[in-house]
Amino acid sequence: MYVSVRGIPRGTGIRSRVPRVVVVLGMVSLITDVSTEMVTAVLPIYATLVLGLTPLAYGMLDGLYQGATVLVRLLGGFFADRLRRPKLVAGSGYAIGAAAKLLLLPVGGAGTLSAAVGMDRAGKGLRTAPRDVLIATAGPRDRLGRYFGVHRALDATGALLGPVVAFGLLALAPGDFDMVFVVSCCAAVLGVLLFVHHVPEHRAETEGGVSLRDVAALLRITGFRRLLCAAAVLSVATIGDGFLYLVLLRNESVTTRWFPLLFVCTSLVYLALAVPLGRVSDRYGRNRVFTAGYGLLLCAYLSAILTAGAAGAGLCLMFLGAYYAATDGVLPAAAAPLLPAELTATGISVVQAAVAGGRALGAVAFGAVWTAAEGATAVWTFAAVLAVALLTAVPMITRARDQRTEAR
Amino acid sequence: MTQPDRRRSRDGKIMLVLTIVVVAVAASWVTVSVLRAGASGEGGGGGLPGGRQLVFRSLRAGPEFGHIAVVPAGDAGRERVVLPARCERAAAAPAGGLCLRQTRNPIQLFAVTLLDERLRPGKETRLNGIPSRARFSEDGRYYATTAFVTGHSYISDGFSTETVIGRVDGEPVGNIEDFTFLLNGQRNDNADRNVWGVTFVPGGDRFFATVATQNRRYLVEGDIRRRTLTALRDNVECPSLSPDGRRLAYKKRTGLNNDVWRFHVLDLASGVETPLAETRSVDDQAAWLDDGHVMYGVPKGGAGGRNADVWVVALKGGAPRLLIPDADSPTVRSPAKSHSQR
Repeated sequence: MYVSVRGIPRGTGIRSRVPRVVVVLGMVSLITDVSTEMVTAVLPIYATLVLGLTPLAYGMLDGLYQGATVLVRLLGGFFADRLRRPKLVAGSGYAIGAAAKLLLLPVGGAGTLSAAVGMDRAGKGLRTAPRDVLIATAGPRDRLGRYFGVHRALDATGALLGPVVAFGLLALAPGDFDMVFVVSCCAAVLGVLLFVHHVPEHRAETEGGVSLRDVAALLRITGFRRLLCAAAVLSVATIGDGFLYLVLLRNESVTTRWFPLLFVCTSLVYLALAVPLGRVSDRYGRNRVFTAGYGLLLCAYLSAILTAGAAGAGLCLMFLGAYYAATDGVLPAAAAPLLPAELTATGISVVQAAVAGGRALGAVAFGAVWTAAEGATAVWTFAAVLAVALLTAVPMITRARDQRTEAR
Repeated sequence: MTQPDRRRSRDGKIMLVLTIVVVAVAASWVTVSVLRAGASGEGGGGGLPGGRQLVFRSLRAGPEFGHIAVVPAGDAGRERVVLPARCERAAAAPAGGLCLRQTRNPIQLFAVTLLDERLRPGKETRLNGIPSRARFSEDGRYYATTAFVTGHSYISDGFSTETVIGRVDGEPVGNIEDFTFLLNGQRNDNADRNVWGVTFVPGGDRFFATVATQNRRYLVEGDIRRRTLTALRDNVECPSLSPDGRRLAYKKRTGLNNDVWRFHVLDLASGVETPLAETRSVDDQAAWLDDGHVMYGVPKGGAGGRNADVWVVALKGGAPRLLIPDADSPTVRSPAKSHSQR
């Protein structure tokens, strides 16, 4: 990994050059995601088969930490700004993630398992905002959509490779989960080494740390406040991929056998479209592409309930992947130029936390509706909620003629 | 060379060495694991003990971990005979046995292997999910498997089971979630239905199982020919029919919401339910050692332990006792009389 990264060409032309630090951060995310996703892919099997926990208990554990991440994200952003050392905070996040995999090794049972999952999530939450600051400060503001696109495409590649590596290893030695955990830990350490050695610290020119009062002042920035509200409102209307796949299963568009492939297809579309949609957002406005992304999500809902068979499933996954490509990297790219330099990390963490919190809330709400009503009714309900959210959000952010985001 | 340049090149060397060390650790660990996986597999062998056999999964550390093993049912303290088949869940009956196992195929991670009367691997079919329960009918015609169809992390928001009944000779009966579910005499079509934990009634087409819907778990009586599941009783999971066919042992939720269970035994004729003397919460489908004793696997060091022991408790009362250390998935079989057992 180390050698191959050094071999990356420094850009082939002046117009298409992506800063080296963006590519390196992308590679770090790729390796780290391989590490994390290999564990995530086998953990349900490990927990139910080896530790004898019910999947229900495991699912609850997972949901609990999704919520906790929101808080850690905010802390990560705030400390990156307060210490004015985003690299240090992001690096600690990567290191915590690597240490979490070590925790899985001893014969610890349910307690250590939950600690390990919690630590891993904490590390991920901590590093996201400061890392996005390192990307946002890597080059001119009118290219940020593309830079984030490049980073997210590499990131998604790692998430795709992780399960492949994990199940490949299990095929070599069935039942040897410890081996998977060791390899995952080693990959995470490689990611940390690459990050520490090849990413320069970004030092802000401004003097003095930020306080909580400065954070509150963020909400007085009109463009940012609107983006935050829109992102929060839209994300509450998301179903969660898992449930959407279940809808496809219930419609008999797919069988349980193809379940893992649903995730693969979504990721493939995501990584293929991340860069193009990032470029589109640089050109036509990031707020617009971000909102359009939720329009694509609405299309995904509708195709899940209206169309049948494999074609319907394919259409739904295409829209879902495109939704991720249009929102995940575009959101920080839209937020960063609106923020004062000394509060970039905090601001990014606030929008991302709003989205994460909104999604968690949406998943819980959808679960409740799903239990109470039939599958299709639940999706129709959420499609309606999303349509309303879009109607609310569109005028809020796309009409705002903020020079800094709408500049081409 | 300037000072910072020199420092940078020294840092680079340290990083390179660290990278090589980390890669070497991963590579050597994988190599050792793969060699060890290759070394096991053909271990054990030897003759099966005569008379009634107690078949289980051996969890002794070493190459025999996870392999099916056998001891005489009347003398469980005897040294176990370890067989070549490695399983995640196992069940046995006079006609043979059932082994739910992990495969080497990353696309189809789990499979069902039928074992012949000498418990050697035979016919194989796929299993859609993580193995949970296995049962083989006493008359040797049917087998049942339950798997968790969560599979992967992307679907951790809920869980669903798939319970399939197969015919030893012939076409499988299929997923019994598709059977007609009758609750209080009415047909019930709730979409959130889950079925698990089958126990067969010998010599017919009937069985008992658990059906869960709307957060309630029912004991159901199933009929393979009529394709029905009829609810008999509330709050019963993983039933297990006694050899004389008069009683059902099962786990019953006693906690408010968490997974806290207690084993109970139901007298089918009188409908009287009695708690067993085992006070720990155990998540297992009990099996009968004989008409007076129930056995089950208990994780060592509480829920979530990597290893387990098989315990036994008498219906008459008295403290449960350890039956087989380092073992789970116990079932008793009396080898078919028509076959010589050597």
